Amino acid sequence: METQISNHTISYKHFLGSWKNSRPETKGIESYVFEESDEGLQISVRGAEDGVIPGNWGTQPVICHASSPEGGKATAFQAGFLVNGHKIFIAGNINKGLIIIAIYIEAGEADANSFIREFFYKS
Amino acid sequence: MSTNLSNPLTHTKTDDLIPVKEQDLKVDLSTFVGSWKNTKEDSGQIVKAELSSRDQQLILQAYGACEPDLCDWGTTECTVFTDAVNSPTAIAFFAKYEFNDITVEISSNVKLGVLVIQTYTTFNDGSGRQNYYTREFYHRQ
Repeated sequence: METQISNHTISYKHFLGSWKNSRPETKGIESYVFEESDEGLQISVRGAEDGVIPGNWGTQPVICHASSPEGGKATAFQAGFLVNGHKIFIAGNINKGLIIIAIYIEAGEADANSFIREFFYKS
Repeated sequence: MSTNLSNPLTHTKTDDLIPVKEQDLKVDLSTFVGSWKNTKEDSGQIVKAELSSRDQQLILQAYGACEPDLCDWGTTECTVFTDAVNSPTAIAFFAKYEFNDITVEISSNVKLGVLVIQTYTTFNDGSGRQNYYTREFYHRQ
């Protein structure tokens, strides 16, 4: 349950499991699941049903970040999705058991790019 | 401090004023009412907060991290704040617990569905412990 970059490792055990949005009326991400795969940590995201991009966003690999180059416990992560022509980048960090995610959605030609920042707790 | 004939309310700034007809505004406490659980599983602070309303009064019952069972702090009345002087929407509150040798003052607000609780703990027992501040996050149960 760790990612090795050079001689230093980043542990992500505390990320594993299901996370739920603290705001039921969200327009962004309703929930997501962190799981371990042969390639490392991966994330499966579900967009809010009444949101900007509803439904299943699929599963993507996660790049973890520690708070220093020496590694240790993951404090942040990033991942990317391509859903219905929308390019989505998410960047999260954890603070006292709460994950804060910034969501950047490139909308394509019809709409403006949008940004959403939301909070998630382990469910 | 000032008053005038058109609006006799004492005020320190114009944002303090409301029309006389709005002076019986009821505050909506639903933002807070419910049971809230700390997002940090190993918290050594308030683990659970139960908020209820009684006659337009917000009541807090906090539970501190203790072994083997949580410490029930009992109930205390909260002072509620809205986002404007004529707004019915509660967005923050203050509360205070006074124990024998320890005082815990609490300020809290809700952001994006997360209850944020700040505690200010003061020791009055001569133990040499420093007063300290914490800020933790809570989700609805």
